[in-house]
Amino acid sequence: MAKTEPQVLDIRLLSAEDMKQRVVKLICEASQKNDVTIESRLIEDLHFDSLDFVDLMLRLEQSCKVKISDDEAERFRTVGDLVLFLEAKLADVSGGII
Amino acid sequence: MLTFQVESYSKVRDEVAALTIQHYEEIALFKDKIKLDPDYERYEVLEEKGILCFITVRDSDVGNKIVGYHISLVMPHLHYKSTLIGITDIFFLDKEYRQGLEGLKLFKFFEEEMLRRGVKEIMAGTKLRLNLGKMFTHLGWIETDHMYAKWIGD
Repeated sequence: MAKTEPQVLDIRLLSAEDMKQRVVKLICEASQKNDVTIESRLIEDLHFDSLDFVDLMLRLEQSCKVKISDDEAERFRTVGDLVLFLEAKLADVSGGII
Repeated sequence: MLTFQVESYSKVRDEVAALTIQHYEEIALFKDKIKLDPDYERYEVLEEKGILCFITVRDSDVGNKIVGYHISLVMPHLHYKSTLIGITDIFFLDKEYRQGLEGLKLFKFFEEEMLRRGVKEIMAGTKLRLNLGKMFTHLGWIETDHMYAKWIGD
């Protein structure tokens, strides 16, 4: 699966279900894997390394205007953890870079 | 758990030897022409002169074994001698330990160590077929050069 450029999107406009699907799609693109689910573990199942994490952080920033620090990224165990994190961030935000 | 530390090259060079073979097998160009043959003595001279910086990555859960390393040379720039620079010689992390952000942490540790030594500019190359450019950019590095190689021996 070839890496593709992320499409710019405001995730604040998405429903919870759409956001989950969007995050799964971003992780498929960053990891170049097709079999990603909300339960997938980033390290154990998807074998995320530094480059994959950086790629994901970049895609989230470019496509969703969400900034994630290295420390925050390291705490995500599953795709679902990332979705919960984004939901929590969005709940706090009024606009601009999150 | 992985730990990052500066160690004496001469004291651990035998411990690192197996990893350097793994490194060579994965990365080296012209393997059919150039055999792995580290100049240990020269590395040790550089260490004695305070030029060599040898960072190890150890797994404290598995007998504290070395699973990665970063070697750099710290010296005044040849063109700008009042500027201390840290030039990466080689770096490697065992494939089994690349998951997560360990590679990134190795370079963060390197940068902290260079800052501690008063270095003003740090440099590293990356192989095109194992391109770490995105990681360097994420860490605030900028792309400055493209390097070419050509075998001109027999």
